[in-house]
Parts: sequence; structure tokens; C-alpha cells
Amino acid sequence: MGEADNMKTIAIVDRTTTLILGLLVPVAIIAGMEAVARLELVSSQLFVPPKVIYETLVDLSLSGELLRNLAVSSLRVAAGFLLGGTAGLVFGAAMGMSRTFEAYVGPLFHALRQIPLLAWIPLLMLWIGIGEDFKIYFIAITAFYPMALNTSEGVKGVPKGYLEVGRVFAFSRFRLLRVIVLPAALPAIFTGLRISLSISWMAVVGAELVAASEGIGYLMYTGRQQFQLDTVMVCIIAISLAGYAMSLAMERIEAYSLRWQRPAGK
Amino acid sequence: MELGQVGQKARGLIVPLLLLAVWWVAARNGWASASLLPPPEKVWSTFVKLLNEGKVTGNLELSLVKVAKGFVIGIAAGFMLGSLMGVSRTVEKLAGPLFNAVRQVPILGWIPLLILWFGLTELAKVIFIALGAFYPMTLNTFDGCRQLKKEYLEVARVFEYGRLRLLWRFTLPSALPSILAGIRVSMSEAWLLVIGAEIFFKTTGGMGDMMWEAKEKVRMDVVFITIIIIGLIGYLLNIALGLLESRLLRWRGSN
Repeated sequence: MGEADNMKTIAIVDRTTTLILGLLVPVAIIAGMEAVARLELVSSQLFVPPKVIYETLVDLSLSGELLRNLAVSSLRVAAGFLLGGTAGLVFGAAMGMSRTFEAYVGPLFHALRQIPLLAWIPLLMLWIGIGEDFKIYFIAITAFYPMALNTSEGVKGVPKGYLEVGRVFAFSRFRLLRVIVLPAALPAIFTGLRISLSISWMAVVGAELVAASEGIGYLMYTGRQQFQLDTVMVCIIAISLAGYAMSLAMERIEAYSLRWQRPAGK
Repeated sequence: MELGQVGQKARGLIVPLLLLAVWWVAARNGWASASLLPPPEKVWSTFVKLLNEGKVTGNLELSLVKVAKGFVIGIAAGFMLGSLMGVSRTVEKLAGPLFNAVRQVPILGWIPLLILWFGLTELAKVIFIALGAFYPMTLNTFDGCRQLKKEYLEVARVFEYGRLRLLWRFTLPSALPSILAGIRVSMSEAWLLVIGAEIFFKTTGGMGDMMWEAKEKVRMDVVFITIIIIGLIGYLLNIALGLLESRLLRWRGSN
């Protein structure tokens, strides 16, 4: 009894010290920033005290500007991610299922994958202009590769035994895919989804920095042009938080979808 | 058997060759405007011309120098932070949460801030590239150091190794595969970001700038050439580091 209590106390103390230590450096940095700002050690154009950043955050939130631009960017990500992710899923599954398909298109796929993502921007701008399509296609391309790659790896990694069961039951190709292959490849597919989503979120910021008239990347861009460091800071924080929230949501969906994988009783 | 394998490989060429043929026919018959889809032979002749003028090598050199600077700074910093966090729980508890919070900032989000702080300078670009190389290096070094087997720690205790000696003799060698993988990821990130830096920071010179300028002048042939070269160099860098990796890990044997 006493021992168990002791253990609990130790665990709580341990967690508290971890928390305090983790907060130590950020708090010190914020305090240092505030002090530097108060003492006017650095030009205010290069440096904004945390208090001003907070006030700008409140302003931009209350005026709805922040949320509106975040919503615009999120919709772009949703469209591009859906397009690129679906294409990647289908393409990856086809490459994983059929050796013939892989032999024909695999080398081209891997060659195109060598093109750094940002290098697509000028090409797309020339081909389809700087409108909404440009952003969505760019995001779709960035979402496509991780999705295709992880899906094909996942499908290839399905244990032979599972496939034999399908053969014994004389499953059609489609049924084999739906009942056996995709569920078995699901963890890899989720890895692809997670990577695709986080790259998409980066891609929308990039696309909006180059060509946009709204969106969170554009808000940040105008902040930079008008030397509003506080706006830039707020945008960075908002972008990071939104990205973090998206990946958390994705993890939740993953855990829920894969709950059957855990052994019973756990 | 041999012939069959050649046939297998050749199948991968069919689709690209087909695309090339379609491209050629389309350009020839004017299905797409020549400025948006220049014929393949035009791309080739432009490539030869640019090569002779020294434009390709000159810009490539500028980009490679930038990458080298950012990459070295990034992996050095990442190695230090990663190994410190890997060896000491206190450092991990101090720096870990902040590191993970800052890591949430999409890398392109740093651009406006870096421009405000450092202007459109070489320094801003190098810091941007270094930042991109820093994250994967830190994470991989940290993971590698944490994978040290308990047995090694016990051996070190028996021989009364100091902290430094433990790090040098056991922790780092056992973390080497993970560290080398980090170097490889960091390099490909750095190569991606130098193109981004040259586009977003409005530089003069470098492959990214060459590509951007071609876009402004609607020179699709030059855009194609720069994209191919950028992809090829990234691929070669990756292969070179892969070779280095397998050479450095020879002692591990084939397990």
C-alpha cells in the first residue's frame, strides 16, 4: 500500500520535473526577448516583444482575418491532398499488386521523384498560370509521391500466406484487394497519408508565398512586405499550430482505424 | 536468362520513350504552343548552347557552394544537439520540448522571417538551408544514441569509462548507421531547399534562379533543362552518400 503510494508520488514528481525542465528554456527565451525589447537593445523593426505578438494574435483572431486565411489555405490543402492522395493510392496499389505495371512505369516514377518538389513551381506556373489550379496541382504533386511510395511498399509487404488464403477462396482480384491486401497494407498507407498531409501543408505555404491573393502564406507575405514582424510571427505560429492539429487528427484516425490490429485485451 | 533480364529492364524504357514520341509529335504538329512545349531537339540544342556558354556549370557551382555551407552548418549543429540529447536525459528534458515545438514550423514558413531579419543576403539563404538539414540530423543522431544496448553500458561501467570515452567508444559507433542515414536525409533536404532559397529569396545566380528567370522569360526549354539537371544532381548526391555509407559501415558485416 505504502509502496504503491510512494511509486505514484515518484511518478508525479518525475513528470513535474520533466514539465518544468521542458518549459525552462522557452520561458527563459520569452523573458529574454521581453527584456531585450524593454531595454531597446535591438531595433524594433527586427524584433518584436512577445507582448506585441500576443496582441497582434488577438487582433487578427478577433477580426477574423487569421481564421479566414487559414480556412482558404486549408481548403486548398484539402483539394490538393484529396487529388494527389487518391491518385497516389491507386497508383501505389497498382504498382504493388502488378509486377508488370511496376516494370513499365516504376522507373519513370522513380526518375520523376528525383525532381525536387519546389522545382515544379515554375513549370506549373507556365503551364497552368498562377490561379487556384496552380496551387491545387502543386499540392497534389507533393502529396502524390509519399502516398504512392508507401502504398506500393505496403501492398508489396503483404504476407504471402494471406494471399494464398485469398487464392484458396478463389477471390477475384478486386475482392482480394478489398478484403485482404488493403487492410494488411493499411499501416503503411497511413504512414503515407501522414507524410503527404504534412508536405501538403508546407506546399500550400510555398505556393501562397509565390502567387496568391489570400491564404495564410499570403498574409505572411504581406506582413513581410510591410515590415510587420508581429504579423509574420503570428502567421508562423498559426501555421505551425494548424499543421500540428492536422497531424494529431490524422494520428487519431489512424489509431482508430487500426484498433483491430492490437492484440485482444490490450 | 541474361536476355530475359535485359528484356525486364527494357520494359521500363517503353513508357518514357512513348511519352517522348508523343511529345515530339505534339510539338511538331503544333498541338501545343511552342513556348509551352518546345520540341525535344530544341531542348537538346539549348542545353548544348548553355553548356558551351558555361551558364550551367557556373550556376551549378553557385548552388553547390550554398548547399555545402548550409549542409555543413546544419549537420554539425544537428549532430551536437542530437548527441547531447541522446546522451543526457537532462539536456533532452531541457531542449527536447522546444526542439519539437519549433520543428512544427513548416520550413518554408521561415522564409519571410529570415528575410526580415537578414535581408536577401547569402547568410539568410545559408541559414535557411542549414535549418532544413538540422532537423533530420538531430532526430537521427538522437535516435541512434538512444539505441545503445544495455550490455555496452555495463561493459563501460566495468572498465570504468568516463563519459567522453563511453561516447567515443560505444555510443557513437553504435549510432553510426542512424547518423549516416540522417546525413543522407539532410543532404536531400538541403538540395531541395537551395532551389527554394534561390526562388524565394530572389537571388541572382544558382540553378533555382536560372530556372526562375527562364520562367519569367517563358523559356520552357531552359526550365526543362534546369529541372532535369537539378533532379540529376540530387540523385548523384544521394548515390555518393549511399556509397560513403556502405563503405563506413563495412565493419558491421552482413547482418
